[in-house]
Amino acid sequence: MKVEAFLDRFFPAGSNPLYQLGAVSFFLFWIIAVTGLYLFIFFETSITGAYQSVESITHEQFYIGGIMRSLHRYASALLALSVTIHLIKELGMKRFQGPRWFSWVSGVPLIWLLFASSLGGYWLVWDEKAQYIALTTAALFDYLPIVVEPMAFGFLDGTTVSDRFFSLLIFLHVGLPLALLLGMFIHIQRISNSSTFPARGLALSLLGAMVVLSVVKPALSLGPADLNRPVQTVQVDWFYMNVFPLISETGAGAAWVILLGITIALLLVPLIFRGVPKPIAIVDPDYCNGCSWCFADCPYDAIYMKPHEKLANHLQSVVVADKCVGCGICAGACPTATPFKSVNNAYSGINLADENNAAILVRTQEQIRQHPQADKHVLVVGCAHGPQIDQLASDVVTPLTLECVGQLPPSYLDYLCRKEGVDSVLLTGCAPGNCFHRLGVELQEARLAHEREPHLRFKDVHVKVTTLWAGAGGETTVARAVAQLQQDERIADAKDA
Amino acid sequence: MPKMPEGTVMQRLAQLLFFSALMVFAGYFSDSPAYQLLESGQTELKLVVRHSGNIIGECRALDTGEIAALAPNMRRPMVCPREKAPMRVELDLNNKREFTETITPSGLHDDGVLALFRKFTLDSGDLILHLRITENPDAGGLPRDYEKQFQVDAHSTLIVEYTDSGFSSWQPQHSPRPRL
Repeated sequence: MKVEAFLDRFFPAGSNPLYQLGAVSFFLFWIIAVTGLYLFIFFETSITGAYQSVESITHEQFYIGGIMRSLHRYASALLALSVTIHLIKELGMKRFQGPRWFSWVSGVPLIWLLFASSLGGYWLVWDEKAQYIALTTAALFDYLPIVVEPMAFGFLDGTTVSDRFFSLLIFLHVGLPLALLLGMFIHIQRISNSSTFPARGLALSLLGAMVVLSVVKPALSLGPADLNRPVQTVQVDWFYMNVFPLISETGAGAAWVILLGITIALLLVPLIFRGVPKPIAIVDPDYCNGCSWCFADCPYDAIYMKPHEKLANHLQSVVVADKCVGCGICAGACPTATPFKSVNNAYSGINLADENNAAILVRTQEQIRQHPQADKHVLVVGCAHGPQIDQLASDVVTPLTLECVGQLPPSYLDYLCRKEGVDSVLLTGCAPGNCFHRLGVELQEARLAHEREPHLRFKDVHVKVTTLWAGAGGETTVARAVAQLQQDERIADAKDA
Repeated sequence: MPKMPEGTVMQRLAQLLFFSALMVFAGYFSDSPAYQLLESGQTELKLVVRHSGNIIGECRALDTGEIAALAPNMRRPMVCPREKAPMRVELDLNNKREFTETITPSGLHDDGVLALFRKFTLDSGDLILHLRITENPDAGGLPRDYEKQFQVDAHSTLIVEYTDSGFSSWQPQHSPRPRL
């Protein structure tokens, strides 16, 4: 988190690479796919042709083929890196609890597919590194009791490998990445508006940097594979071959224990650290007008529309309990949440089960009314995953913590400023692009900017709303901002006077 | 944490530094540090066993009662066992026991082939190799021995094999392919 905050200093809002690891991974995958397609055109699937064709691509057309090969290599390396950081980050943020288990569990097999896809590419070069990978992979699989005849028999000496082996390898090196792509598609199935392309500036910078690296340090082959002689020293790609020296040093048994142990541990994470179940959203047909705004805003694809139970020719929202994480963004999107209604003040069509919109409004009103004489009253709205704001409570500051800032209907801000004497509002939460509930910050920003329904009714007239997406740990920044808001109000009053 | 104003030279420089560091990291760890498998002067021995195995026991005739107990389409006069004998493999290098293992036939009914592959790292020079294979050792099977002296070059491969045809060993010749 500190690293993310550090990078925030250098990257404009929304372009911090640590906030776009999934999108960056997709982008790198496509670079690998395009460069791989180019390399495939010139690759020869034979025992002598494989090595020589790769050498030819690298040296005879270094200006394009060499760069393509290097991009293929370095994009793969960065993909391993981005996937690793993505995994660590999601683990740290506990984004595997509740219905989010699906994205987590479906991501674990992708790591195996990624490694298999990448290592398959190294085999194709058929240099000493490929020889080492082939023999060590054989040792790994030969350890399994289901193996009848050891794979290693296929690499006994220079006479045991045939040209057809390379046809199999190229088939695997195309097939496995396609399986990986299918897995990536499944991985993002339970989220809506998934971002599969990073910010353009970030994408161009990344591509440019990789091209420079490809020119400065092109990917090269080692000496040709020769199964008649053992490999003495191998240049290890530590992004993908990190387990190979382990196999060489400790044997395949220990490697299987470690690899399967890590895999099983990752798969069990959502089961072991399941956390307290969060209240999900529920629809009240008496108030749902079928506008579909909650359906459009749900970041987890947990809402669908059906014919209304009570209103003819209307739709009604339905919450899929197994997909709902209880972020409350749907409640913030509900237009019937407006407190300006003449009847049933603030009752709305969709709410979180533990506290509906009306109760949130009452809670806030009660807090504000405890200090009727407050001068320059600031309402600070935060989320459970951003800066902690409860300690800001005072005679002139009312903190309101929600599960996500997207849970707050904008009409509440109108109402509290116009009817309850709030002078200014500070909205804070997760850093932009890093919202715990994916889209809460982005959607609330759009609502406040009149770019998305429901929006503020009286923007800039009665409601002074400031946003400060300080992220977790940004308590000091928020406290300073609150003090600044109060000072600005006083200066404005002085000018008016 | 204070942010730099967007689009400033300092911010651009910081981004350049970030991507440079990232590329140095990717460039370095994609092939470094190297891993040494063999010290200079060392060589490699591959031990291979691939044998179809011998069935334990003899075929025996079924009596009429046993035949009648079988399903009509399964009735036959003789029944033959499928299980094959295990095999003990012992390898001595320079009169020192290097490896012992009893291998069992593959398959759920122990009726498949017997196969073994092991790789050993040796110092180059003179080598006295003694390989002993004993079929069905627990039932007093007789051992078969293979003993041979080699002059093993550094950074070379020596292969010793036991198959249905018996023992064999060879040192494949280095077959370099020229770089372009």
